[in-house]
Amino acid sequence: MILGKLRLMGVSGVIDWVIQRISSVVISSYVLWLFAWILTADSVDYQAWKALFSNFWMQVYTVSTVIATCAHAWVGMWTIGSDYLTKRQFGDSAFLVRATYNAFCGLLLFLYAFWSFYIMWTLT
Amino acid sequence: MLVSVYRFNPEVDSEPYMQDFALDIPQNRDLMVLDVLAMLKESDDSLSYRRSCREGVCGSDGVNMNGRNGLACTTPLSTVVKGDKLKIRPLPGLPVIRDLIVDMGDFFKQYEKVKPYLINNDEPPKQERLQSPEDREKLDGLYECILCGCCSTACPSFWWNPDKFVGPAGLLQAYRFLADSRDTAKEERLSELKDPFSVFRCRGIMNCVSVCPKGLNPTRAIGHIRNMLLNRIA
Amino acid sequence: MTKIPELNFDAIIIGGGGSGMRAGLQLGQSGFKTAVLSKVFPTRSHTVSAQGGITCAIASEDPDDDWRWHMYDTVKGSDYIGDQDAIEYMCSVGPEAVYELEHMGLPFSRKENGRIYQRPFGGQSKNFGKGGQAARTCAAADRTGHALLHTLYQSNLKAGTVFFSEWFAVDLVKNAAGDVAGVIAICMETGEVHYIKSKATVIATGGAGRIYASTTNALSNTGDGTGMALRAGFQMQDMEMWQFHPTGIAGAGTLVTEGCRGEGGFLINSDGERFMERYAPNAKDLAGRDVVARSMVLEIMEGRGAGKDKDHVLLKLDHLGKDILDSRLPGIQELSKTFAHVDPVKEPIPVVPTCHYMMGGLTTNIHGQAIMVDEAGSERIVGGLYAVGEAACVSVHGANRLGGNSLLDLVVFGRAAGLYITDVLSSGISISEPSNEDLELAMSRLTRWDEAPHTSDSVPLLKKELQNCMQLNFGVFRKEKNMQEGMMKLSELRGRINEAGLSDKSKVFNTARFEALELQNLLEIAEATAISAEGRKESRGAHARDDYQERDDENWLAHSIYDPLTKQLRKRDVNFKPKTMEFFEPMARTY
Repeated sequence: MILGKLRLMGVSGVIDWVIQRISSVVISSYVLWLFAWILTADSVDYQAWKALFSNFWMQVYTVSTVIATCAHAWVGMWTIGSDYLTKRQFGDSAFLVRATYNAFCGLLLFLYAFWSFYIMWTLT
Repeated sequence: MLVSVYRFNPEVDSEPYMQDFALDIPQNRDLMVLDVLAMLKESDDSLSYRRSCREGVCGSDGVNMNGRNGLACTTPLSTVVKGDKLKIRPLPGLPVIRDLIVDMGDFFKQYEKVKPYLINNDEPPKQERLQSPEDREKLDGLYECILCGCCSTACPSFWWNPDKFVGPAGLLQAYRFLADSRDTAKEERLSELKDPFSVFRCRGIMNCVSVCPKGLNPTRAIGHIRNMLLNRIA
Repeated sequence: MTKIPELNFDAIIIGGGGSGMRAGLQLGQSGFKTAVLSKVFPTRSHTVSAQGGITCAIASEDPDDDWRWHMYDTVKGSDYIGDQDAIEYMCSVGPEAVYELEHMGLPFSRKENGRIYQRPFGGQSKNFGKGGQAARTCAAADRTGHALLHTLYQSNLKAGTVFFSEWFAVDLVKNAAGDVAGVIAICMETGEVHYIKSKATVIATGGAGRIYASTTNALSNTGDGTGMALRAGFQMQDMEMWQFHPTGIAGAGTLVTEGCRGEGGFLINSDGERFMERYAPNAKDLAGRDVVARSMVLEIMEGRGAGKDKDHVLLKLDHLGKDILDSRLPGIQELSKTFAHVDPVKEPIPVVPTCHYMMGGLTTNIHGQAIMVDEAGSERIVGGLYAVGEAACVSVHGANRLGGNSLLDLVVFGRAAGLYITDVLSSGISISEPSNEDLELAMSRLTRWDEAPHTSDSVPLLKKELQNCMQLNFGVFRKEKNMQEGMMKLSELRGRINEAGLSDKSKVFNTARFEALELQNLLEIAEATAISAEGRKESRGAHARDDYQERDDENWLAHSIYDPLTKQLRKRDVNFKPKTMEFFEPMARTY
């Protein structure tokens, strides 16, 4: 129950499932778009790169993708934890092990998200 | 033929071991694995396994043969023996009581969790409730399950969370009642399945489909349940 | 002796098949403390193997159908020693019991109008035999037993019935008054022995086809309740009547439903001739099972058997086409491919008559109460003991059961016993306590196996000898000389079984220990069968003798009662007094 509350995202398996599907669409489209840009750009140097990321919509797109990636990763990492870090493997300390793992994953993802916001924000 | 059987008797053994038997297999007909077990038991009556109907409908003798789950009584040696060797182990993922007999408690708990019975609180008619052949056909491929446990014990998600993931067998039954035109508890059933474990631990790897001795397709049933859950919030 | 742990119930049902679970459901709903005890997880019980359907006049296929026509067929099918009051009850209550199953969720096949699909089965007629073939067997494809058993288990789950799953019943406990006060049972997982005390003990342990070497029955069909009742001195009725199903897969013994012939399949001999046209010109392949089985054996004996050894005949289905076979007989295709290596869409299935059903059993009335008959012919009811389903002889099947009537028997009489026991318990009965000696007596058999030194005579070997003896001497056709030899062999086997010992005496799920206990049940039943068969000096229904080839209504229009204490046979009058109608007079039985 406490574990349930620890889960920052999703109130049910359905929503988790939807989040994973939507976020993967966002991530794939972003990757495809970047590739397309690299292939079609006249030259891929610092200037061009900076210009691209100084565009407001590109910043929004990037931040959205980072959020999607973090959400996607959170659902996935939480699932992995609940598969392998269980009573079967760790006995009574399973809760502590899993809570630590979840806290670590959560913190890491939060840092990544914060960091990317920071980068985008300092660009303009 | 060399038959290697998983042995464990908690009264005598401190840990399980594999016991080898050399067996002369009559060549004139294709024996079933259950026949082999019976031959072994004649030479060593301490070997324990479950069996009953010996025709693949009671679901007692699910075992793991050369790495693959199936019913001993309907698995001919010709389809399973490799290099004149046969390894017989209990169904994986469940606690072993003795030899090939596993404790199916978790498996049945998950079955019970999906309320595997018709719910319809309307006053029944004097005769049967009517159902069109088309509606009845929706139950084909679902109601035939024999609860042998081959599918759920071939499923890694069930190995990791046998207390939370309903597993392919239970979900097949969940859908059998969701799909029944006579059942009126669809909403109630779905709301009990929406958590992140019951249904959504299925990763669609289809081990269940590949081992089901009755040729059923739990993965497809799980897909239907997931769609119903999605439609519910859409 | 150390005190055995005791469990206390109002009613205990031994056996978790169709009849046991139907009784359990009824009692569970009554609020009395009830438990169903089963040596296999309930859905593994042999009811699961029933294929064709449940016969009942629900008037779906024929709106004019009448339960009285069904009753006529059943009485005729029984060769007139079925009790007409019991048959009347079964056929008239049947529709209600079948509708209840449907309301519980049983996935019956359907007709276009949404009603339950019914198929023709053997021995069925319209208008008291004058209106031609009827279609009265309600079906869920060819998996009706599976659908029925799972539905009953599910309903019991819903009702919260207490199950002792994988518990093995050893022997009945009798008190000083001779009433049954419960049962000694073992939890198979731990091997612990318990005394389950109960005011009503219901035997629902099914048949015992495993007394024969070739049977459609499950390996677990060892008649444990019947064996217990015989050891406790209770009488059996019509034990000579064993049904040989015409279509067991040759070699494997697995059942091929009569529904195959109901859907239009027929039997052919090595010449390709549809031989049933000669033996039963009207009903042909859908004559009574005893008639068809005998005809098949005659064909084989006269050299028209098929195959290399000319030891079977063939069931032809390919002319029905793949669509019909896929929709109506999917399970048969699966079984046939697995066990006969034959695809029925293309080739006929090799079949041979195979032991299928025990028409006899513990003598009961329609409430399931066990009955004892004394020498003068007067009857008394045994306190605390009930039987339902195949273990009981009510008797609705007499000398030959009609296809589809066994599932009906299960639900109708499981339900009837449940209703009656509810009434009895409500009126506040008590069964006096058994003494320590009574308990020790019930424990003595188990104690012997747990202590006896290991011998060279192994349980599997003794079982094989017993099964071969029964197969050879008490099969489709019976000869006096063979039966005498068989009886001698059985008494020799009794001596050896009483001396045999186990090599492994461990407790945790020791299946060898249970197989030893089962062997003794088989022996009791085999002996009851042998003595009853030798004693009935006529041919009737499934009992065909070469020295008494005709039915003898003068002397044997009667039940045989086997008394295990004296090992003698008695006669009991057949009931010819249905409550709501005229009785059916015995007539020559032709199809």
